[in-house]
Amino acid sequence: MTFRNLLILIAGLMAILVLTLLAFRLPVADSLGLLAEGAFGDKFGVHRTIVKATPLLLVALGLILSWRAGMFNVGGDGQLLCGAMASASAYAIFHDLSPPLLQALILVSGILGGAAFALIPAALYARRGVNVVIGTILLNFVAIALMRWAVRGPLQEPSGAIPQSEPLAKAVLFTRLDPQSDLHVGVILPFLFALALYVWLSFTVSGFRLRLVGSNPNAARVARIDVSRTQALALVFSGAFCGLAGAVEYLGVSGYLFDGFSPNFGFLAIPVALLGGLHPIGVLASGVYFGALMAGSKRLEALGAAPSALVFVMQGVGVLGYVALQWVTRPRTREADTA
Amino acid sequence: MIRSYEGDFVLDGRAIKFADPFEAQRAGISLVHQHFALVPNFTVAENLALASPLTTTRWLDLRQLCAPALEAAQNVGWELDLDARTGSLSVGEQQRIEIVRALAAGGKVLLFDEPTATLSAAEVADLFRVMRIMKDAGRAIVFISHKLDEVMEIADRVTVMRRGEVVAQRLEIAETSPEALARLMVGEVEEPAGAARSLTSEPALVAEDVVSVMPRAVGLNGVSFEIRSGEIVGFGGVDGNGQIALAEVAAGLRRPEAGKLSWRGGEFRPDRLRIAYIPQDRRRDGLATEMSVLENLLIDGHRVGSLSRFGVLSTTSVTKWAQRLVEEFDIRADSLDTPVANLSGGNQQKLILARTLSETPELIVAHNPTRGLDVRAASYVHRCLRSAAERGAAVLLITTEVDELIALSDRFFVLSAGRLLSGRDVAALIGGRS
Repeated sequence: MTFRNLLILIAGLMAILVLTLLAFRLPVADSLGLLAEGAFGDKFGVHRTIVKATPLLLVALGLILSWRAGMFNVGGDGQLLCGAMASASAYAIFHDLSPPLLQALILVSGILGGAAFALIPAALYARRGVNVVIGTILLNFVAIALMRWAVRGPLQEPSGAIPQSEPLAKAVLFTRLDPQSDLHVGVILPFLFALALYVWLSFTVSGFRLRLVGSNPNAARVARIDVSRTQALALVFSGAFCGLAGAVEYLGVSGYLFDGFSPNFGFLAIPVALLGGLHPIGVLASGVYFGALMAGSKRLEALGAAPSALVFVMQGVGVLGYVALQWVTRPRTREADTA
Repeated sequence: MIRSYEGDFVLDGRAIKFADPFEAQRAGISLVHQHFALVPNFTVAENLALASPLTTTRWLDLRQLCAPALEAAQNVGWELDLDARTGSLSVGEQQRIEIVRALAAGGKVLLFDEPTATLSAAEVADLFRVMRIMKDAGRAIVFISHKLDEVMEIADRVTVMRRGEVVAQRLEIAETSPEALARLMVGEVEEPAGAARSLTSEPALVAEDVVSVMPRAVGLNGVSFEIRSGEIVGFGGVDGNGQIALAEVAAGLRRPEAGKLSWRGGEFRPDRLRIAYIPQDRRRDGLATEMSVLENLLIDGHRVGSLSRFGVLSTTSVTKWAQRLVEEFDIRADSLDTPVANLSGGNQQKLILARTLSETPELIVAHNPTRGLDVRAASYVHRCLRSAAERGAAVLLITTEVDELIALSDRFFVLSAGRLLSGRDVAALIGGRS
């Protein structure tokens, strides 16, 4: 993306923000002030923004991985929930282990849980040609139902009084980087993984193969790359990222599972990935932007607006704006067919 | 659709010029497309309605709009299922919709562009029956085809074109023969250019009775041939006679259902051989057009061992390698980071040659390697293939261009309905016997 396009994108996002506020009949200047204050006003705002952005970023990184292979995974929410359930199961089984070991085990379980859940649509696609968008989107509802059942059944806390899992012991929860806020050590993970994903996609043979498969599966086949295997693997790894997001949210923020464990992280991550240009580094910026919106919009309650509705509208309009922008800044190709 | 630049079309003694297809239709000229201009997801009725000027009514009265077409269908004895989804019909049935549409438009002149290319023998016979009915009804019919036997059967007079020029006009069918037409179409057939070279080496690629089944196209029905190292063996013939199957089998992308391929007396192991495959549709099968020049060079190069260590690509050696290829093959691009979509067709093809031929391949499979290229780019491709053969590659050349076949091949065969005919059968070369 050129510098000019970046400026257009930022200006476009600001315009969308202002227009959305106007549409909600909110005073623009005051609202922007409250949003900024809620997101960046003090260290609590900044921390809140980063904590909110963390699961969005991890899921968005996963989505990038599969989308770059031409697999439109929209099942991030389901994979995140299954990751969280796998994590909680690991805790229920191994809660006597030493905390660092247990933390590692919970993270790995989350990764495996998300990957396993993504394996279903991946296998359906590779073996039976089932459309990935349909497969992944429908499995979201399966995962939501599973979660509802799990917190009332096998994973319910021992007293059986409330539909939630047993809270993690304090020693197992991620260390807080600031005792006064929610900022936990897990927030560095998206940054590490974004870097790793960037290096992998850009500088390794297997990352190149994945991008080629996504860019032109026919050319990939001619280059003797097993296209459907590559795509299926991409979806499984994508699920692993989403599962990790679930484990990190579990270890870092809530400490237990409950019905609304994921406030649509899997869906919210889609505009994050798109606005980030499906680029691991670009996604860091868009993830923080949407994290800031989620964190800052709480303050808008003071003005009588429903904050979640606002964020949803901004995301939807943001994606439309992004699509429009792609059209405006598309590369013009030459038509001449001479040597 | 495409406007003429010079000259006039004359209809009923008046010179005419058309700005768009509707104007031609109003003048009484209708075209039956080779690739049908039908909407597959529409019903037959909806497709028929498309031909009428939809501006006359506000409500879509399909029955009324279809009425002329239905009448035309009845006149030639065809039953049309108006509610069938067009995409679910056979090719022949779809063509009937096209023809009926043209008839309903009341055309005085009907243009058929290769109408029999995808029809079965029975469907061709039925088409000819209908064409005769139309002829007797006083309509003029232009039948564009390269199938000589069909031309001999249906036409009254024939005009032969080669490379956009008329080489013979208004020959009465009764006074000509398939052989004479074939000669006019091809021009003088020379001995293959490379035939003089003596090749003594053992065969490299040997195919014995290879059968390959394609789901929706002609495959290979028992094909046998040998190619020696340093030899260019051409496979000519009209498109759609097993070319794709042959290319993909030889490139190791498709396993033959029966028969045997061997390489230098041993097993044919495409993954162990250095095979250069130049696909006929470079944008579809050869390139990822939104990726950069460098990345497109890597499409084959990602196997080059010296460019990566433990699966990590070394930026400096990849760049140096790509730079060398760009210079060696004279690929004109602004930079290595330019998306390939921005390159001309000739430069795109050079890029494919660069990445496939630079690794001194043992086997080259080139399928219509000069399609869509101008003369200069095409002759560059020819030079590259020849010099690769001289350096010892076995070259399998599949081409529908007769000139290219003759200019490049040491020997050639003709593909017809998935079988090989001897290259001396000139009529087969242009589809006369298919």
